[in-house]
Amino acid sequence: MNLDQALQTFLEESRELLGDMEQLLLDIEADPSDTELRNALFRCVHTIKGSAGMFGLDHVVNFTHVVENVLDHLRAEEIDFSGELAHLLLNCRDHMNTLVELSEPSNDPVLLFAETDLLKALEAFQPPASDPIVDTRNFNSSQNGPTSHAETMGDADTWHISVRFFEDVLRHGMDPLGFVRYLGELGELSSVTLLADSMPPLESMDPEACYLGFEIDLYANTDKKTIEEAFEFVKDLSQVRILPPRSGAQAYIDLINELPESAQRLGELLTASGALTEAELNDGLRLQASSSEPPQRKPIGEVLVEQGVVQTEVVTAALDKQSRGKAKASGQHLRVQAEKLDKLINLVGEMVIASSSVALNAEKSGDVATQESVAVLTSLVEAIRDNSLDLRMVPIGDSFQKFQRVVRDISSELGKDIQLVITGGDTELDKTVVEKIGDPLTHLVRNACDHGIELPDQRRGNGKGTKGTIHLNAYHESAVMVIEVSDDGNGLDRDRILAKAVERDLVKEDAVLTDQEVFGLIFEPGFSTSSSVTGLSGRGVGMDVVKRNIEALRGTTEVISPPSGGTTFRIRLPLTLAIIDGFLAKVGDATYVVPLEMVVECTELTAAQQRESASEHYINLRGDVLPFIRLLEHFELPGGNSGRRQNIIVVRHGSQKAGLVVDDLLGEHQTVIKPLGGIFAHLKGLSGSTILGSGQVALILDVPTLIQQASQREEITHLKANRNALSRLHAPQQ
Amino acid sequence: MSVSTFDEQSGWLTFLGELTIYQAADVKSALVNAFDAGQLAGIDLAGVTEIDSAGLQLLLLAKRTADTRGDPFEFRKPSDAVKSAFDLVNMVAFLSADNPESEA
Repeated sequence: MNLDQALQTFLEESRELLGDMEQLLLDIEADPSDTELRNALFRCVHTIKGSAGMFGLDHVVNFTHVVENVLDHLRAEEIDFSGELAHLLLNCRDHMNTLVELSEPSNDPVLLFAETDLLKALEAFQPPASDPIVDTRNFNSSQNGPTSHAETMGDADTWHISVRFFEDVLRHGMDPLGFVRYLGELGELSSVTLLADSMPPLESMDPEACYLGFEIDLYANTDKKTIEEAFEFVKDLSQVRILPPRSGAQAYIDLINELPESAQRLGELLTASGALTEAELNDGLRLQASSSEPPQRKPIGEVLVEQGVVQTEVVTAALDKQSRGKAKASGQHLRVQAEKLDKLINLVGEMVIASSSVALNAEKSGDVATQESVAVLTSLVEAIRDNSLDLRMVPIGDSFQKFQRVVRDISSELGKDIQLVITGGDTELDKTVVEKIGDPLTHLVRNACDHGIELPDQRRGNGKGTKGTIHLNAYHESAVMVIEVSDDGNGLDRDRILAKAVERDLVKEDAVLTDQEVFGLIFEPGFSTSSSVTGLSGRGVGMDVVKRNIEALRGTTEVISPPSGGTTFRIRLPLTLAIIDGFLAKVGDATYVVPLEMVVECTELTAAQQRESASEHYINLRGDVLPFIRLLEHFELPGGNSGRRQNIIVVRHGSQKAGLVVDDLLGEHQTVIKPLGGIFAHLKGLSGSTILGSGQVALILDVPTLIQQASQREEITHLKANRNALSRLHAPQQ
Repeated sequence: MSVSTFDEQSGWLTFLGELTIYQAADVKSALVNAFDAGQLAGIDLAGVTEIDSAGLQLLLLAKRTADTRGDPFEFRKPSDAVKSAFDLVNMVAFLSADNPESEA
């Protein structure tokens, strides 16, 4: 019995469908003439309703049903797709999303209130009641049908549905009664007959097996596909046969032949429900008996078409649907629980550590044969590591797509005309990172809409087109992922930010700051230059959270805003959080790891340079000023033997470079990052730890922070020098 | 949780609470025990709060078993949940077919 699992599948599929729905709505808004999109939209909602019905989630079904009705009218082109409707339907989608996530009806007044509002709004889009609802497709099909009747009762008609559930259906968490109940929602169940002939006697009956079947007459205005979809979830757990209205007697005879119960019993049953007359039945059975050709050789579809029971297109559509379903199940993708993947990655991490320990021992032993085997092993381990990390990589495009909606909603709220351009959507990034980057990106995009892009009038005044553009871009830069959020608005007002910062005592009035530093101020907690607080941003909450979130991912943020206008937020993120290629260096007795992708070069700190830089914290590296940090001093390690030769590792992050002074260079090393515990959270300059092959612990350096400190150190030195000079001046007077 | 009690003197089996796939195994063994113990006069359904296909087919089976043995058997006081399930499959009559005088 895996009801939970089935429900989980329902949840996942609904989330996917709701995502599709959002995308479709946005697409339709962009191109209202595409009818296929409307059909797809309808199917989307219909499937959600259908599956929710199967799980008895009435709160979802009831609401979705109303939405589906409106979409049905939309698809029949009885109502037009307006911006207003788009907005409403998007809100309905959000509400459906909330309902789906709630596994049971909620009495939350806010939710109920919202629902009432939406339903009221949806009512406006129902065509006038006097207008009889005409489903054009059905109308056509009954015209082309084998026996075209001009029936009196509109387009509704009686469908015959014959279902035999397989024994396992209950164990899969499905309740056959639920399907009958759901069919009842499609129309009126004019006749339901329960068949339990296959149920064994009490002694041998399995209480968890299902022995039920139903013969149902459904009076409804629907199509074959809709009914088939009702049984989508038990496709493999039942035998379903649907006879369209006014199927010839032969179709019923065939049905009788296919079903497990005796012809006699079924014949009685069908005549009782009025589907067949006794005469037709007897004729049919006689014909069957005399016919030499076995009835079941041909595929059902073919037989049905031959008989003119269904149009070829219906069968093709059904087959097409089946094959699509199969491709989805067996083809390209496999759903794996994220937990399992994490476990695998962890183990691979341990394996990497173990294999470097083996390599170390092999080297010590001096046995060439062992060393060769270890070399092969190491390259395999590396391949496994890369491949398993690759499993976690997902294109960032999916999470970019949701911003279409964000931008759309905000721009209509603010009365701005904004388009979102997405590039580099197939750039791949670790799934954990993708998940965690969503919130900061949302903030940045909202911010760009609210503060970046000006109102249309203002833009016209500035000689720009009224339509503003926000550009989301992603690309790889060496082993770093770069995500850019740019807008073509006014750009940041450097003076205003600076003024505000002075006002808030964040910087001294006479301080000389670089553009980068000034723009960096907007990430200060509570910092806002906006004079008006809108519902979206301007409260000064957010940018500091953005920065913190990105830093938590070992990423950095850079703001670029040239005087010519426009603002770009450039986020740099490591591709993965689990394993990096590191460069090992020894400082005193401790070993440190520098992420290899940040290492530019290693060079010796010559005696001359050492003397030169004894008091300063920068050297002249081939004509460039390179600020550096002596790690020994920085981490206050014991044992500074200044007489020894030292090395300098030149690291780069973004556009900044710095040097790290270490004692020995130990070379490359694959490093599995172990996060530092909470007690070390306040430590600046360290991003994690790792275990070396020898079992020793090495700390991983947080290069961006160190670079920042190295650059600042330079200024502090100046400050200190000044202060010393001042105090010396004052000293004699006291 | 379904609770079943069998009154051996009167021959009445009473189910309380849910009668679904989750209780199916218990319900079946209650039925087997009741039939083994002797005459099963009927099943009291007044306290059944929920019933699904699994419960429904067990009730069918109980009736069928009693009929095969030729024992008189009836359902008593079906709750609304039970009635609505049997109504869905057009079998309300089944609950009271053989005993119109059933104490309601």
